[in-house]
Amino acid sequence: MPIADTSRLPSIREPRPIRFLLVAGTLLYLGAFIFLPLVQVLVMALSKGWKVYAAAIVEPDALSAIWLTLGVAAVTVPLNTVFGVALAWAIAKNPCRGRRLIATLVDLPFSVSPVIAGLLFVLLFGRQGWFQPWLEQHDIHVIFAFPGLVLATLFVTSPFVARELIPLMESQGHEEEDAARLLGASGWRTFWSVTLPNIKWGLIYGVILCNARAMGEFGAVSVVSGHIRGRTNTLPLHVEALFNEYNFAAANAVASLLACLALVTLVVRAAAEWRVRQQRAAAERNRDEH
Amino acid sequence: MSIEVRNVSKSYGRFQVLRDVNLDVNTGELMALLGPSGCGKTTLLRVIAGLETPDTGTIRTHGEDATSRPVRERKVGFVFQHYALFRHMTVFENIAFGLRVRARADRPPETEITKRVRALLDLIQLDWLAAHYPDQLSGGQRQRVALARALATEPRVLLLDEPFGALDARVRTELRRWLRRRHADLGVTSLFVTHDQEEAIEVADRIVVMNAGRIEQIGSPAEVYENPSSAFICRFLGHVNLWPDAVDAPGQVRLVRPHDCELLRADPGMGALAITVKAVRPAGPLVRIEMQTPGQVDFLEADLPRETADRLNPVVGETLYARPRRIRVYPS
Ligand SMILES: Nc1ncnc2c1ncn2[C@@H]1O[C@H](COP(=O)(O)OP(=O)(O)OP(=O)(O)O)[C@@H](O)[C@H]1O
Ligand SMILES: [Mg+2]
Repeated sequence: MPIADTSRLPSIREPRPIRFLLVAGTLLYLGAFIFLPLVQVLVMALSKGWKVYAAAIVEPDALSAIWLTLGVAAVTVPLNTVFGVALAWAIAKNPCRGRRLIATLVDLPFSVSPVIAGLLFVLLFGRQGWFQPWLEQHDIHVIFAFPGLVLATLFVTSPFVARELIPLMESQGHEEEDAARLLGASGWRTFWSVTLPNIKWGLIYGVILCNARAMGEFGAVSVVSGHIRGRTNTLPLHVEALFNEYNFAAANAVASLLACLALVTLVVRAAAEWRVRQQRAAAERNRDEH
Repeated sequence: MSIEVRNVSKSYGRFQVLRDVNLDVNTGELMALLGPSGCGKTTLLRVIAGLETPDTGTIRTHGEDATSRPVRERKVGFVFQHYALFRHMTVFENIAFGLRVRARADRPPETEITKRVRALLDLIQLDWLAAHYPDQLSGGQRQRVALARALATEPRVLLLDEPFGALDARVRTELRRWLRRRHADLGVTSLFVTHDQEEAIEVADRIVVMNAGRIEQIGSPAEVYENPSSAFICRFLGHVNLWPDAVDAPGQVRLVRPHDCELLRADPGMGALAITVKAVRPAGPLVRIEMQTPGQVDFLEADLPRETADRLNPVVGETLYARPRRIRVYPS
């Protein structure tokens, strides 16, 4: 069904010069703060040729950083996905007392500086930390090791999925779930066949954002990692190490990997949005046929 | 007794939505629930279905206490006021859902499911929309799908929240009749919310009227219409005139239904009002006369049978005398 074409109605649009200024300003801003740095990274990465670029990436410390980053993401993203869905479900679908407070607490990791978050884990699990005696007894290393990186990343990335889902689930209400239960579906079945399909795209989007942050996190991870090359340096930490050694070509080469991640995130996101639009369009076509 | 509601109260925060509600719906009965918007009809239905827990009181369905039973075991068909169709499922899958989620042992085979869904689609006359999604349907179509979905599992108790609200007159009458027939055939018990008093009077065995969380009256349509227990119900069911009176009667309201109002050309004396005719509107077998008494702002209405109106032949602007055949007096 065609909605009135607003471009034909000059009265409700801004005058031409203002429109032009606004668009130009936005593009300039985007170019200066997003596009230029990206280009700069690529230019610097390739400034000494493909060979140096490739060498910087396949070098053992870099490879170890890549694997470590993938490993941390592989653990944190699924955990935070489950946590986020469960939390959003609890807040949005159950009108319980204190849900507003919980919803605010969800955002806590966003309002705390990541460095503070890292410090928190050092205070808990580090040398003089609360759990140190117990950890020592069982010979478990948390700080300056993989578990510490996972914990810090978990904390920092925990809000992404929940934040994406809470407003979505709240707007959808719980009537469909009510209907499913009345028709005899178990709670589990209701979740899989009614709740989950309804939040699919929001969930995918939240997971993408969560993953991007898990791989790109610097502050919290920096505090708990200990910067042991080839062992506890994730990609962003490795970039920093190379940068501090004035090894700009290598630093930018590794950084370009993270930039690629950003681009992949963008593409997947665009694809997700495109799919939603396509479904809508198909729906419109179907309707028009009748 | 199929549905027994005993002393049910329910509050949201400080706001009491249901106040000590008692209601029995007999097996095989079709009962209409009427009441102004926000009086707690949907809440009562949700409590009966088990979607809300009452603060106090009990619900029994089929003679057993249902208050502590999980929703999925209550076997209650529910049509939601806002349909609540599964938005990511086609119309067909929506209707089939209740059959598909059954435990393997009592789940019908796929061919049987298809057959039943097809039959329901025929019934609601939407077989051509089987592959469509809910957001591709009109309000009335969605409502019919919601009805079919609730019927698919053949529940013995049906709770319908304004199930015909968004339908056009023809489909509405058809589905209404079908529901009536089904009741006679299968002995289903239904409680349905409606805003349409005529619908309630036409199809329901009994009517229950709610106001502000309380049940005001329960009775057969004739009873409730002819002998409303309060001024509220009298006003709520059908048109009514607030009758101005020469005699001062403090603490009383006097109500007259338009069809209880006689119009005469000559002043009959006692109890008649001089009125000015403001409009004459023929409506089916009746003619509605809108009129005004001097010194009153509100119009009064009289419904005359067509013959009587033809004989009287009222003209807009002329003065006539209105005499109530029956006045209902309530404490105000
Ligand atoms: N979840 C809720 N939280 C708080 N108040 C509620 C909730 N659900 C309903 N209410 C209130 O309870 C009252 C009764 O609501 P209900 O939906 O039962 O009315 P209704 O009789 O079905 O009205 P309508 O005819 O408009 O559908 C309303 O005043 C509403 O504001
Ligand atoms: Mg309602």
